[in-house]
Amino acid sequence: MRVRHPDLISGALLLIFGLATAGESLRLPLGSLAESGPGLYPLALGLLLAGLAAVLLWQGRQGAALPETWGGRPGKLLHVVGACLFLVLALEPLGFRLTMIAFLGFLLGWVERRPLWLTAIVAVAFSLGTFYVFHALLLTSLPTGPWGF
Amino acid sequence: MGVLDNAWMGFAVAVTPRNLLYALAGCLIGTLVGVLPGVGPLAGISLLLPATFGMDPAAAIILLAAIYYGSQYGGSTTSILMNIPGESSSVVTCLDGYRMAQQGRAGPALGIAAFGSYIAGTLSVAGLMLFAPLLARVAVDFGPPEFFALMVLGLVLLGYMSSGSMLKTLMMAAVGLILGTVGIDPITGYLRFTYGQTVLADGIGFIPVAMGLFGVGEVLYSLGEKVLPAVQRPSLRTMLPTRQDWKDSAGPIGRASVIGFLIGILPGSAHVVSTFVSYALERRLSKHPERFGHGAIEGVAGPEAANNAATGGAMIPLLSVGIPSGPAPAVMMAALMIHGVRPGPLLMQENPRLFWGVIASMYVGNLMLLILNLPLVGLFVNLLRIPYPILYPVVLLFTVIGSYGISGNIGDVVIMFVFGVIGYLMRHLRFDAAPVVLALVLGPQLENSFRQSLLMSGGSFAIFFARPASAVLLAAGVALLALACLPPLARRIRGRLLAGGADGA
Repeated sequence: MRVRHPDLISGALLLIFGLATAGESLRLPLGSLAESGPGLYPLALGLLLAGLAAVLLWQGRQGAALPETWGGRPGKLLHVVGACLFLVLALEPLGFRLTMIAFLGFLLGWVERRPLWLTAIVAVAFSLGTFYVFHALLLTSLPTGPWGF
Repeated sequence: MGVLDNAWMGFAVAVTPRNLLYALAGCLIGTLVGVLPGVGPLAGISLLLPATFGMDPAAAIILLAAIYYGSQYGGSTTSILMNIPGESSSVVTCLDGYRMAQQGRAGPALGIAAFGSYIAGTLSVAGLMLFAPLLARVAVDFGPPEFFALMVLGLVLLGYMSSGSMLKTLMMAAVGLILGTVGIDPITGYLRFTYGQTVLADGIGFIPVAMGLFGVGEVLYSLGEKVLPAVQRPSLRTMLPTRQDWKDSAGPIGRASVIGFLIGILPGSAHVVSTFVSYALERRLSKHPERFGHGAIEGVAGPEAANNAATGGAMIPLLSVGIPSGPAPAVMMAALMIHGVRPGPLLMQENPRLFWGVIASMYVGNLMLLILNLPLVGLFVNLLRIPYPILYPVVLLFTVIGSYGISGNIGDVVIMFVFGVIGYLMRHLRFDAAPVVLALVLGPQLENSFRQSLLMSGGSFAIFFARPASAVLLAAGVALLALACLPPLARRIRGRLLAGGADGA
């Protein structure tokens, strides 16, 4: 995919974000300059961002398309993002070790088509090895799952 | 106490067996994250941060600082051997380093990069030792208006020093400042922009954001990259530079040490900018500028010395003012604060052993890196042979440990992945991620200083201009903005006038 007007796209997105921030800030007490409320500072920042985004939009009218194509492997990208989503949902219910074995196994075996033996060794060794080093030795907090595994 | 007495006290802290071990571990991890493309010092420091919770503060910072400067050593290896920069600050090294490798001179290129890094790194630590106390003495008298002005100047400098568009850098800084307002308002106690999510009540943590933007974003971006080229494996014997190599490199290393140190103090992409400035200067000073880009050893020695010197410079604002100059120093600031140590002008008085111990450990660490790096290059080259399709799932695993380990909250992992996707989009739309992280760190301090200043003045903005230090800092920021904005504006007006004249004719 080739992005023809990158600055128009990013300018529009940031303009919306800036205006939304300003709008949400108005729902908070603004106070006065001497005793400013929680909404005044984010209101100013939202308006500043919207102003800068407007300048980018104005400049972006003549902006050239990006030279490279991107999202060259959208299927692979979606698989990786999907695996990350699974990881977020499974990490605490299943625990670190089981989730990571499944996560690494999927990426190496399914997405990257690596041999089964290599996938199994890397997935199991890194999941159990890092858990032992970080959780047991370095006392980092990592989820253990309902079965203590 | 004089500098020498303080240095002596620092070395007494740094050379204890435990701290030497932490410095060694940090140097090895730093070199490793520098060597591996896509895994930067930020990811390395963030990953080890939870592991330092149980440590003594000095040991924790010695370990994290060693990862930071160690990564600058490691970044050159992939640049020289594979034409792929391990770090953004090693991009320039590719130009002549890879050419030298193609000409069979990979050994001297790696050797001069290591020696240049050692010399510049050591000189910059000496500079840090001399200048950090001076700056801390000045900063002790700073009040909220001065801190506000200093941070505004820092953000403008960030835009000015950035390698990309200043407008985009300032926009990203504004986004970072907005993200910094999420959570409990420190003055009134109001919850802002949390939408009922408890994970947001304490604010958006910058470590998950940084790991998302730099770690996950880089992995997603690299999925579409080409296959990495084959790697050469030079022997230790060929790595020692010849007398002619030393003669050619001595001047560039000396100049780059000064340039890197000075640019390192400034906020922004200091390491990257210092390498470009050093390369451009050496090319201009050279009697044979045509050799640059075709395997000139000066083109390796200068930039590699500059990016290591910038590390010492970057520690000055962090340790003496409490303002980080980049994402990696920002994580170190977080580490200090987690250990109950507040970096800033009083750090030197309240925790002299930590302050001088960390600085002294940087001398020792630089020496360790020189001794370790040359013999271990073969080992690191073997790591580069690991195919990226196997490496990136493991990198993602480490980012999960880093983000979850900080708070033990799955919400931080969600934040990391969300910012990973945002980082991927930003890379494609040519936005730099560093300003977001830096502004997110500075945001709460900036807001507090701003609101406290207005409280002091009864709502008058004159307070920022009535105090000399604040006025000078703000004037410098305005001047920099004008310098950046006026030339393009003048070009546009001149173009319009010329076009109008042509139409009239």
